Amino acid sequence: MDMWSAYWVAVFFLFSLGVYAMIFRHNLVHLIIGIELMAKGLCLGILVAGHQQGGSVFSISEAMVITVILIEVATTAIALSLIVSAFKHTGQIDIAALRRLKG
Amino acid sequence: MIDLVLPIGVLLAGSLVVYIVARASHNKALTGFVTILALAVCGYVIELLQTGDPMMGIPSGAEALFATFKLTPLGVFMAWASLGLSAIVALFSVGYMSEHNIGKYYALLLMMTAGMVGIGIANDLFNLFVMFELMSLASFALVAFEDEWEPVEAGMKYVLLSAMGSMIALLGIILVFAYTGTLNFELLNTAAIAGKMRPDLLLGCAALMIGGFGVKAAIVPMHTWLPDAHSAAPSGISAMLSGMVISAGLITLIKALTVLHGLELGLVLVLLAVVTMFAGNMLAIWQTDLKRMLAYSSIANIGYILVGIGVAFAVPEIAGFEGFRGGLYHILNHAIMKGGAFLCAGAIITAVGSRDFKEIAGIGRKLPVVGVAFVVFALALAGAPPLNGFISKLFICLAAMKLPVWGFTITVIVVLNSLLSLFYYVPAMNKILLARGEEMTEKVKATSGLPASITLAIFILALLTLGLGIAPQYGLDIVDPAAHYLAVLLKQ
Repeated sequence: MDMWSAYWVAVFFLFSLGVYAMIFRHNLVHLIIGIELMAKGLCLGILVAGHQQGGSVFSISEAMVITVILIEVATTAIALSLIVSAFKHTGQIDIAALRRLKG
Repeated sequence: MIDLVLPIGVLLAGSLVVYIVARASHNKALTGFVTILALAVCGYVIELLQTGDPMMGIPSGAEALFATFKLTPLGVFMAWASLGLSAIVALFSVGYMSEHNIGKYYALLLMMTAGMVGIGIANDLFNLFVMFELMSLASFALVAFEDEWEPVEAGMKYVLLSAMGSMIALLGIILVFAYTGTLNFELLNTAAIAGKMRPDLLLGCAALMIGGFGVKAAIVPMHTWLPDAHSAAPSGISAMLSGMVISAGLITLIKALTVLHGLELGLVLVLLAVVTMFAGNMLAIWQTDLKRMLAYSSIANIGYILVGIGVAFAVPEIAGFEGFRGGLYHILNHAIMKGGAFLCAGAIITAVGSRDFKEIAGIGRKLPVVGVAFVVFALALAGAPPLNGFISKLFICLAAMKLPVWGFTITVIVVLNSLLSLFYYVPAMNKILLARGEEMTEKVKATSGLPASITLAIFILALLTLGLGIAPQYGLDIVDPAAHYLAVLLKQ
């Protein structure tokens, strides 16, 4: 296994860890951490992809990573503020407490 | 020379100005007026860019990788559809929203519109993703605008599903980047670079993009956030979400899929469309809540649009233009008629304070403009001639007929689904317009007029519904170039 494959394994490991958290966790904060893990895996992926191509592509991939971090922080901020609201209304931070809308 | 970033810049600067105006003046009408002004300026800039000589916004060396923005006919179509609906929603919201937090509301509305305009003019996959996220982030905040349990729960589901979808789509984009070293649409369309992608990898990327962007486009089975979010959001935002945001998700998906060459995706999309149509219509029948019913009907309408697009992807040589024409024209018409229907629901909520069919029975007798307009929108959504929904469904059916082997079956399914939608639109029209005196609740009986801006916004959309049905050539003027552009892109 060469060096690049090892990096890609790390990317997919982080991403799948995030997907696992999104699917199997009930705590809302854990779900946000799941999103964060997926995004961090993807940031690593962008850098590895840029490095593999080399040259000016790498500097562009750095710019892309900063943009992805920005987007992910904004998403997290909105999600966390919603968690605070959900806690005020239900007294829990469990996704199972948010089951009133149906049909 | 005008920079192509300008349309988005105008809207983002406008959102800041609107917020300051709202904080300084505490005046709803003035804030709404400034919002519409910002949208109009953006429309003017788009018009100038069309006639003028557009300039790239970045230094020449980096263009090879990131040409960032380019004004294509598809971009013009997206810009007009989203700016138009957004302006009408801004007008409606003057009467609908309370003065509390009105600055945030209009600022977020402008940001969401900026994202949609950006999706139209983005010229590389990463910018497409960024603009898609700009639209999504604004819509998250708008869905959970009121701090009550229903919007918060709906918003939470929407954020989690949408964020997961975005990340999955981004994985697809990164795989394209890793293998080709570029994300620019024009470079990805050249044979030398398209050849770098392995077929199995292409299939994986397409699956990730359909799964990721499909969440926002509410393709079944990724639709679960939609009914909650659409019914919990303020009505003006429901109209935006249903009319343009899910369609913008679909446009993002189309733009992303056009660069993956050598895949037979058409039949997969048509199959997803059939499932989406049936699921949307079947679930809508059982709803007792007006906005929830309209939300499920949006899922069904995404199915119709996807039939046209799927046919275009399946047989680009035979039905490329017709398929995209039907799909894009239905996007425009759906924005008008479903936007109008949600605004009617908003007007009813303002008057009665409920969305339940039992409690709003007979409201059409008290508010004749809203009642008659709702009937016009519902008939158009069900595909009754001579309204605009009929014309675009006709185009979709004509395109579907050209599909080899499955053509006739798909056409029959589209027609069947149109008939199925009558099962929930006829009772809804009946309840709203024709309910007898004894069915009316005290609240309905006590209803008197509505703010003028609400009635005006609904009236404009009803006129457009009728107008684009009788004289479709005016709508086709902006749809046809976009459909032609996409069809040529697919034939390469």
